[in-house]
Amino acid sequence: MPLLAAYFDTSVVSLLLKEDKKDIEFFTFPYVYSESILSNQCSDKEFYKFLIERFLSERKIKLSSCDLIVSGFLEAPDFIDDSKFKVGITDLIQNSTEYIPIVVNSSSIVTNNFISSFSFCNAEDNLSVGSNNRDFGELDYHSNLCVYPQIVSDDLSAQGDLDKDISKKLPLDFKIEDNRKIVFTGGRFTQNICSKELNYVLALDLIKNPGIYEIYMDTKNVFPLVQLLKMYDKNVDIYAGDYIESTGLLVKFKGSIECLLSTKVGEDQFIEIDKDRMFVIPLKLDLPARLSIKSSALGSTDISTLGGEVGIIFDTRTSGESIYSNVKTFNDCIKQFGNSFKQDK
Amino acid sequence: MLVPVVKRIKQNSRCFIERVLPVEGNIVVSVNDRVEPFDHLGDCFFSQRELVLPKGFKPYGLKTEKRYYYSGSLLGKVGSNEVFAPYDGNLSLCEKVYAFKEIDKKYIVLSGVWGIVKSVYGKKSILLETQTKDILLSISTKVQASGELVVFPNPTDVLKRSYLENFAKGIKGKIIYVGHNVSLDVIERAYEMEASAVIVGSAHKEVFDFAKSHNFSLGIISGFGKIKTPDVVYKMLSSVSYRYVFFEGDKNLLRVPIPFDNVNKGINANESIEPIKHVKPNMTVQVLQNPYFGWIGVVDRVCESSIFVRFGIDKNSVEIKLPNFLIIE
Repeated sequence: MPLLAAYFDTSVVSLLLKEDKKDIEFFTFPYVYSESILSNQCSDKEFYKFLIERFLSERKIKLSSCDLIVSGFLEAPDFIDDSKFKVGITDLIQNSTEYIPIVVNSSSIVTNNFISSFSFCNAEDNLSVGSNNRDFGELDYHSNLCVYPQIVSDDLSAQGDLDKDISKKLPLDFKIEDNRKIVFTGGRFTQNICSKELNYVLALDLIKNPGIYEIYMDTKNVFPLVQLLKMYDKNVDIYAGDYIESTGLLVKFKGSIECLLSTKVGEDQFIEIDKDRMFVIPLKLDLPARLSIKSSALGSTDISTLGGEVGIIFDTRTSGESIYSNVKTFNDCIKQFGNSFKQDK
Repeated sequence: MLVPVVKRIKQNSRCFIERVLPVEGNIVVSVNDRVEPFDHLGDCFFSQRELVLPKGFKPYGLKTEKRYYYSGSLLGKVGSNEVFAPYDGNLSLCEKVYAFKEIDKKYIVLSGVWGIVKSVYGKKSILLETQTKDILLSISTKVQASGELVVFPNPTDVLKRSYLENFAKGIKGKIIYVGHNVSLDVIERAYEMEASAVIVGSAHKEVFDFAKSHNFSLGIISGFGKIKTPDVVYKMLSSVSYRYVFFEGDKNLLRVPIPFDNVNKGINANESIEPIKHVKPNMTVQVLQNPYFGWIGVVDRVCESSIFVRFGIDKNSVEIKLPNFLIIE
């Protein structure tokens, strides 16, 4: 029997259809139900039922012949009837063993033992994100997100401002265990934004404490869908890592760092990074490379890495300020991430 | 590429509207009566205006608990300023404050719709079954209002206020469509002049915040910012100017009653019921991407993650990324 997993975020709907062991399809519908534009035609329940039926009928599957399991942000949706299993995003996060998930959408951030949410539709929340300092254009754009929650800015600085508001919600002393796989997921990373470099800038800004991290970027909401599937059926044979982008390694320490990179191809590379720098080494390998890191704060440590779509990201900034609050750092990040995609790794 | 379909105007062939008297009175219709907009449903007597006088007010000639004053006669003084009765009424002292209440006047509740009386509740309320064309508002304050619809011909910013001023004697209790955009001073003036509701194509957030904080009925058709009212909506509003309409803020709707014989005629007669469709060339879409935010255009071609849209008679099309557009029907 086919199995359909659905995850309802605040700006997108993500589906996973599993027809048999090998036949798995991910689908993103980049819209959500909005009362402001659809309430005169249908309810949220009717809208999503139509979407699911339409998706299945185009694949010649009937909803009645399919097991449906659902998750939502934050709670499991109550507008889906007849689902075999329902669970909220917080349960999916708590049950994750391999990854530390950081779920982000346009106005919320959720991770292990942490939830922060605000709304542009709420006057008090608007004040808390500093709407008083914004011009009419920005305020109107943010307010329109309440009416059209799916919209994506086509402007780098406007999207940067939205991301800044999200990042600000995470306290500066927020700690994530280092030497862990961190997956950035949720509606924000699924959206068709103007520049994918912004995804990495946001990810980088959300990691506040020093350490070494393996970074993964989930642009199809694979994590919640696969985790939902695994919670429903513990024996299911599916690995999220096959569908999530491996971004690379983040080495974040306050102060200068010295590294020795041994790829077993050619000579070893010695890298010295001054303090207060952001530096990206494009690196994507089939066999793990060895990275020896020496820093005044950490001492010496050895780690193996395959790199990733971006490579190795070094962050030696000492100020602890947000990337968004320093235009030079922001532009430097955009440029370096952009260059890392272009280079042959 | 699946995209939601928005229907700004939708026919509702069966809806219920409640008409209520402010106080108990006489109901002159019965269940199953057929009514038209100007038919009387009932009437009652009550004081419709009250003037609360400021501290330091000294009444003139008030020797009993309550006294009757004719319109224009001297009520008393606040310091050296004389206060005259604005209408016929009674002056009384109520909880250490002087209040001047207009004498009870007859209030008639009209049907406002073409419909059938479904039920009568006590001596106060009548439930009518009717048919309407509903205009979907993107944003509205959660207030209910009704009144005669006055449609301004999409005036420029400079002219809006003067349009309002020129309606100075008649704006009270009316629902006004003020144009593509409304500024804060115009909405403040409409509020002062006791308009029943204001409908507008778009407005800045501060305008909406003002209406919300004053519990004033404001309906925004397209969104925040400076966005044109879609032509189809403006044409519909113009065609029903001076009709009695119902603003239902909690449902984001402006309900326009239609006669019995107009049901299933017009723009929604053959409408589909699909809320999601594949976007295709020649479909009409509303763009939600700057600098075309709110514009209505026609799809020229569809690509993998974007579409190309033409606006008006312009031959050149512009790329709009998914999901910054909606299909319009």
